[in-house]
Amino acid sequence: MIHTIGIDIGSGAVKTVLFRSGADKPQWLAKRCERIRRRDPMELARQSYDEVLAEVKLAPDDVAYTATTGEGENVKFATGHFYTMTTHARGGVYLHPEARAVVDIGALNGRAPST
Amino acid sequence: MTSQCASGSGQFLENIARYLGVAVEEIGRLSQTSQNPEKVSSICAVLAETDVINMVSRGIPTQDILKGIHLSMASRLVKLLKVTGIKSGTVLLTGGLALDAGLLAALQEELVNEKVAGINAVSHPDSIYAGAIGAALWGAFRHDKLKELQGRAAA
Repeated sequence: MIHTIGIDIGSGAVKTVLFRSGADKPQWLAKRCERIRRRDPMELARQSYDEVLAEVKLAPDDVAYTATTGEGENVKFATGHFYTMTTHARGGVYLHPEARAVVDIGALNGRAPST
Repeated sequence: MTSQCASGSGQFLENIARYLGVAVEEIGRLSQTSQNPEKVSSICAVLAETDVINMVSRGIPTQDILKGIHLSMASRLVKLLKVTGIKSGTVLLTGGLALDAGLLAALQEELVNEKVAGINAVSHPDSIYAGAIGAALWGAFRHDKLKELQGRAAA
């Protein structure tokens, strides 16, 4: 069983989630959504990361993979980065398994990846 | 509106709501009460804002302006959806505007108008987290793959 964190830095908000994955269906343990409002997105990412870990009483060493998406390429503590199209499609199918496409309407953009 | 810039997105709608003196949470409910939507004709956010200012001075009701903007955004989203080639099934709205019930209603209307009524657009209370969820799940997948490769290299 492993813990992973996903951080989505958008143009309007920073979204952070913590998952536990194993043999069974992944379990969603914690989430944070912070509007940027002229603050530093990298700082917000770090803050949300610490908060989700504190919520489920885990330490950074317990996290197997910290993945960023959106504008999160430069997050220093991340393990890797994924393209927005693939992450939104994957997240869309998790939320709604029958979804055949996802229409992402962000603060400054719109896109429609098919799943 | 064009598919090239921000004219059809959240920040634009937020700016317009501020100008109209409407709270962001109220946009969806107000838009759904519109009887006679006034479509935004401009192709750019700057000109669309001028359009909205003109509408206000012409005395167009707030709900009709908001519904007009929702319809313009929806027609742009339908064009995006057509590119995916999907003609039926469920399509999930994600991102900050997914919880705007007015936009969801306008999108359903535009799908019928554009003769792609086989598509069922839905939203989810946690839609805004879709990207982050995807990243966490792909992270777990990549972690497992890397471990598998390391195991094979060691063997």
